[in-house]
Amino acid sequence: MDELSLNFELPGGRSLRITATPSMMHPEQCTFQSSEALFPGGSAFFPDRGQSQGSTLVDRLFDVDGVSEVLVNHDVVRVSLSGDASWETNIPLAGMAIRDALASGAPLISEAVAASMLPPEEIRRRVQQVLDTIINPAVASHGGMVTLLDVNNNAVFLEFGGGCQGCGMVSVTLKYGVERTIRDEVPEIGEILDTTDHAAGRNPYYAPSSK
Amino acid sequence: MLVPTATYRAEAFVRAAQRLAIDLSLASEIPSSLSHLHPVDLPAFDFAQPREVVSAARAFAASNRVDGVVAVDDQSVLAASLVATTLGLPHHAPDAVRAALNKYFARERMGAAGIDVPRFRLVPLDAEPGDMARAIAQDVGYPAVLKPLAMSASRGVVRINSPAEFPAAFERLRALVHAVPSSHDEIANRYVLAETYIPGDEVAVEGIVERGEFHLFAIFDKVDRLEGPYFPETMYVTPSRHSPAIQARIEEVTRETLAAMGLDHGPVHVELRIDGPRVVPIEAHARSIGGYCSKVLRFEGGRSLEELIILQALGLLGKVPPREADAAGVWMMQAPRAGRFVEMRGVSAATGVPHVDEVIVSARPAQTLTPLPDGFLYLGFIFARAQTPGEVEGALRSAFNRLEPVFDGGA
Repeated sequence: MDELSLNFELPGGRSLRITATPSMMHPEQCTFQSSEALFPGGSAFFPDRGQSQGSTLVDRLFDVDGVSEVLVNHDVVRVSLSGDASWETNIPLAGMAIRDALASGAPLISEAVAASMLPPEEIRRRVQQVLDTIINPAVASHGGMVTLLDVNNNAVFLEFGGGCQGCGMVSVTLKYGVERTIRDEVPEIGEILDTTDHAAGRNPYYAPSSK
Repeated sequence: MLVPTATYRAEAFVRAAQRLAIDLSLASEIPSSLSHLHPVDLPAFDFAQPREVVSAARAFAASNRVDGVVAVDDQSVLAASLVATTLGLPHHAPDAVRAALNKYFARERMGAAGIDVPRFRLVPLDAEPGDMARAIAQDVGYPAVLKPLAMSASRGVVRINSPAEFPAAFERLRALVHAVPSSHDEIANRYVLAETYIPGDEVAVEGIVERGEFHLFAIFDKVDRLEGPYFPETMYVTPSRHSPAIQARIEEVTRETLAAMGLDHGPVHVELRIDGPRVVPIEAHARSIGGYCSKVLRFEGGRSLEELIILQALGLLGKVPPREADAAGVWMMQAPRAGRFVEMRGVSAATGVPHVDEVIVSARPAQTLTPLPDGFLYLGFIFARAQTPGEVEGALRSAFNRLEPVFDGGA
């Protein structure tokens, strides 16, 4: 199945665009990107309806037949189906569930869920510890370093420096090295974002070439 | 996925894998600084050592399920074909890939299949220049083109118009091959290729071969004529403005060339010259387009070229989607002179040109750049998209003219 765009109107005449992208590798999953923030700066995983704690968005999505898991991350929802349920028929239903939740005016993610997230100071402390004790000693072997710039709700903002800045392999190191290490150690975090100006890197460890 | 550390293409493939939600292991020829933490995600395979690649692949597959193998660039495509063959997965075969990586072997395969190729001969790097200049006159004829056997992006390629021009060009090329030896091809370190210069326009063909069946993605016109003495590629624009008959012939010759080479499963990039009614292949690669140029290609359903390549490797490609209807193009900015790069001025103005999608400055501040034929780094890339190829060409030229690379000592 290809990507599908859904357009809705919200109360007050606001338009809402939701882009649904079914996963090729995990056909039970579909990602919905919303033009409206759903959980600003936050990320939360709901392995079943019982974890919703009154979150309107999550409850509406679990009302769709076959929905088994929901992951909310800022303006993106990843929804998983179980059993014979198929995205062929469920994309419009899940899109309408998101629309209905936004239109209701009720908190999309409940106060209780938000309160159960680690406070930013705790996330900062634990991520900094991972950087100091695991990641930076390793990337130092390539003249690199990773700095924690900020934690906003549970989204983590990193900056790569030294040999990592502008390195041709930095996307590999970030996604498959740094991000996985941090998630292993601090699973409560949301997005991990690279804020580095790689174009300004003066001494990248690996530089592209056309040898 | 086998990712050489010197590639421009890592980010595009990583993004594609993320979008497809693939469980990916990224092997590079040098261990990542974080390999010890994630040995399955970030293994190391020495691409230049075929036996080591095969045994590393076997060891990896013994404890991990492998559904497909993807090469990211020329430097890893032979290793990828060896890994795929070892694990019984579909991929261009190693002997075809070896031929594609060596311009002499490629010419031999094409010629043996009856394809119209330039007259060519090997030139030993220890040859006496005067003797060889005469031998080239006899075997190839002037004007001729001298090129290394295993470099890309026109590096080292030079046109020579007469025997008198041969010695200087030969010395320069000999120094380049000695300075940058191939890690996987000893023949490429001892010989270069001489071939007849084919006049006319040049095109690049991008596509994929699915179990022997070629699917054309795009014919790119290399809008600026490449007539030598060096061959700096600048602008690629698709769709082609050649006549439907010539385009049909380009596709036909591409298909014949790939069959002759034995490239039968995976991405391909072929370059051809159009000399009147003749369509002559001059390169056939077992990989996709290089640099950041793949950004030009977008496919129905929003898929990127890298996504299609990954899906094919996993046996999930299905029906090959068509390219989007718009015209699109890229300008590859070459270093105008040798020196220490300081900055690129005019990026905002260039980005603001109608139809320009993006300007990427890939050279780094303080980086030392060398122009062709000895150099190999791009200053950057300009991308444009419009309704017609003419509009794309105009936008690319306009954007390029607004850019001013600054080097130590002035622009």
